[in-house]
Amino acid sequence: MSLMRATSAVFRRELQLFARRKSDWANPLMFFLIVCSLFPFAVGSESERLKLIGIGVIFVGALLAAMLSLPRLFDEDARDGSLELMVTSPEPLAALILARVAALSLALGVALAVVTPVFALFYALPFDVAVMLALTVAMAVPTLLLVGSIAAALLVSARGGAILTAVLVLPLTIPTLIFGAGAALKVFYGESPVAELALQAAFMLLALALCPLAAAAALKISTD
Amino acid sequence: MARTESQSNEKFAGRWFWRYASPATFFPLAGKIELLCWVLAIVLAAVGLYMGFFVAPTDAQQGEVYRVIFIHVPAAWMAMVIYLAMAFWACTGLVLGTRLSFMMSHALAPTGAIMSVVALWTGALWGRPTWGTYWVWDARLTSTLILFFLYVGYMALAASFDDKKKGDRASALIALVGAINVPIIYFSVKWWNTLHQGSSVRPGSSSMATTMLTAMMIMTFAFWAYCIAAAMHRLRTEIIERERNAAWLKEAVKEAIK
Amino acid sequence: MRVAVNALAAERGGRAVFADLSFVAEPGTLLRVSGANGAGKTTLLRILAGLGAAAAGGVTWQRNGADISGAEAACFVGHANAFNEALTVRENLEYAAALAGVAPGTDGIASALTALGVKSLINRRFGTLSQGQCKRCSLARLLLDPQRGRRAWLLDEPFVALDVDTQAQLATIISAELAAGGLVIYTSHQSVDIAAANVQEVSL
Repeated sequence: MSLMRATSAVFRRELQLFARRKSDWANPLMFFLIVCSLFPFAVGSESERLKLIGIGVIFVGALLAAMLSLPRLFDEDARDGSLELMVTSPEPLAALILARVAALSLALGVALAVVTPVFALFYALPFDVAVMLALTVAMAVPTLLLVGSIAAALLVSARGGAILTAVLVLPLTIPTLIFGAGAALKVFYGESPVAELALQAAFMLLALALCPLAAAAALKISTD
Repeated sequence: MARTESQSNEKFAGRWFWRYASPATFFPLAGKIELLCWVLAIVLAAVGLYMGFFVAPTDAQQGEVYRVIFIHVPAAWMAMVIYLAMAFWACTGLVLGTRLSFMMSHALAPTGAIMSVVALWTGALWGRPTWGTYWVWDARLTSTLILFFLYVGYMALAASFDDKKKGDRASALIALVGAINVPIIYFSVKWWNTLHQGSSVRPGSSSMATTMLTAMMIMTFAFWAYCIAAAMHRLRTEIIERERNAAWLKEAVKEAIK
Repeated sequence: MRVAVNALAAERGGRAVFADLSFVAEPGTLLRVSGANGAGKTTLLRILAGLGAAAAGGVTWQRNGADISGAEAACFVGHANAFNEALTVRENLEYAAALAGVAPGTDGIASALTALGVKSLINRRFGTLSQGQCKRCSLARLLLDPQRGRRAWLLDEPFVALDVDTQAQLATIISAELAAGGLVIYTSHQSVDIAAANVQEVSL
C-alpha cells in the first residue's frame, strides 16, 4: 500500500514538473525538428534519396532528443537535495526509479511519437511507414530512457555529464535502433514488420526488468 | 554492497585468494608473471609470424593478402576475451569489495581497446584488396567497433571521477551492463547485416590448411601472452600510483634505489 | 527507537574523517554532535540516515527491539531544502510524505506547517519563498508522521537562516518530540536552549 502511494507520488510529480516547465518538452521537440531539417541540406533535396535515408535520420533524431532529457532525471534533484528523499525512502529504490522513468517515457515518448509522422513528411515517406515509425519511436524512447537511467544515475552532477552519458548510452541502444528502424523499413518495402516489432518489444521488456535494479545500484554508488 | 575487505575476509576462508588480493602481496607476483609473458609473447610471435608470413601456403582465392588474418583474428578474439575478463573482475570487485579487482579491470581496459583498434585496422587493410573497400559493415567487424565504444566509455567514466573509490564502482557497474549487452548487440548486428546485405563474405570462412591453423594458434597464444604482460605492467603501475603512501611501497622503493 | 554506533570510521573523498567512534542513544535523548569544521559532523549524520556507507564499523537502529534500517528509522534534514522550486509547498510535502511511507492527509500537512508558522504559504510555489520561509517549510517534513516519536530526527544545522523567534519555535517542537519518546541528533554552531530530560554530546 505504501509502495503504491510512493510510486504514484513519484509518477505524478514527474508529470507535474514536465507540465510546468515548458523547456522540458519544447527543447527536445525543437532539437528533433532541427536535426531532421539539417540532413536535406547535406544530401540534397531529391525525394528519392531522402526517402532512403528518412527512416534512419528520424529514428536517430528521436533517440538523440530523448537522450538530451536524461540529465533531468536525477541532476536537478541532486542539486536541491530531493534525491536524498528518494534514496532514504524505505520503499525499494528500483520501484521509485521505474516510476520516474515511466512518467518521463510517457510524456516524452508520446510527444516524440506524435510529431514523428509530421517529420516524415520532410522525407516524402508514405503514411503507413510514418505510422510504423511513430510506433517504433514510442517503444524506443522508453528503452533508451531505461538504459540511460543507469548512466544518468552514475553521472549525477558530473562535469560534462551529458556528453559522457551519450558516449555510454548510445552503443547500448543500437539493438532497439536496428529493430525499430528495421520495422519501418520492412513496411517501406511492403513486407511484414512483425519480427522486428516483436524483438524491439522484447528488448523494451528486458530493459524494463533489469535496468531499474541496475540504476538503483548506480544511484547508491553515486550518492555515497 | 560496500563491504570492506576485512569484513569479507571473515566470511570467506580461501586463504590463498585473500593473500593475493592484497596489492602488496600481488605486486611481486605480477612482476614475475609479466616477465614470463613478455618472453613467451616475443618467442611465440616470432615463430607464429615466420610461419604465417613465410611458411604457410598462398591462398587459392585471396593470394598473399590473406596473411593479415594471423594478426586480425587473434586481435579480435582478444578484444572480446579481455572485455569478459574486465567484466569478471568488475563483478568480483563489486561483490567482494577487493580494490585489486577494480585495479585489474582498469589495467585490462586500454589493452582491450588497442586490440579492438588493431582488429578494425587490419580488417580494413584486408578489406581493400579483397572486397574493394576499406570498411564493410559485416557483423563481426561492426560488433568489434561497438566493443571499442564500450571500452572507451568505460575508460572515460573511470577518468571522470575524482573520488577513486566511487569511480571504481561506477565503472565496474557500466562494465557489467556492457557485458550483458554484448551478446544482445552481436545478435542484433547479425540480424541487421543479413537484412541489408543478404549473404556476406565473411573473413576466415574458407577452410584452412594445417600450417595456416598452426600459425593461427601460435599467434593466438602470442597475443594472449602479450595481453597478459601488458595488463600486468599496467596493474603494477596502477598499484604504485594508488598505494604511493603505503609503507610497503616506500620500503620497496628504498630497496630498489640502494 | 534507539541507535547504537560501534567503532565507526568514515571517509570523505578518499580522506579519513573520523575513526573508532562509538556511542549509544536511547529514546528521549537529545544528542548534539560537535566538532570543528570538516570534522565529519555532516558525514556522521548521513551515515546514520543510510545515505553513505561507513569505511569501518557499524550502525544499528532498533525500534521495539527489532533491527531496522537507517532509512526506516530516521528523518534527515540537511543543509539542502529537498524541495523542488517549481512545485507548491503542499505538493512538495505530499511527495516527501509518500516517499517516507506516511500518509498525513491534508490536515496533517496543514498542522505541520502551522507548527512552524508558515501555514499561509501552503499553496505558494517553493521558488517564490525567502530563505527563512524555505527552511521552515522544509523543516515541516519532520512533523509529517502523525505518530510522534516514531522516527529519529537527524538535523544538520537546523537553526541556520532562522530568526530568533523561529529558533525558539523549533526548540519547542524538538522538546515536544523528545517528551514523546523520540530521538533527536543534531549539529549546530549556534547555542540554542532546548529543554530535554536527557542530553548527550558526541565530539568529533
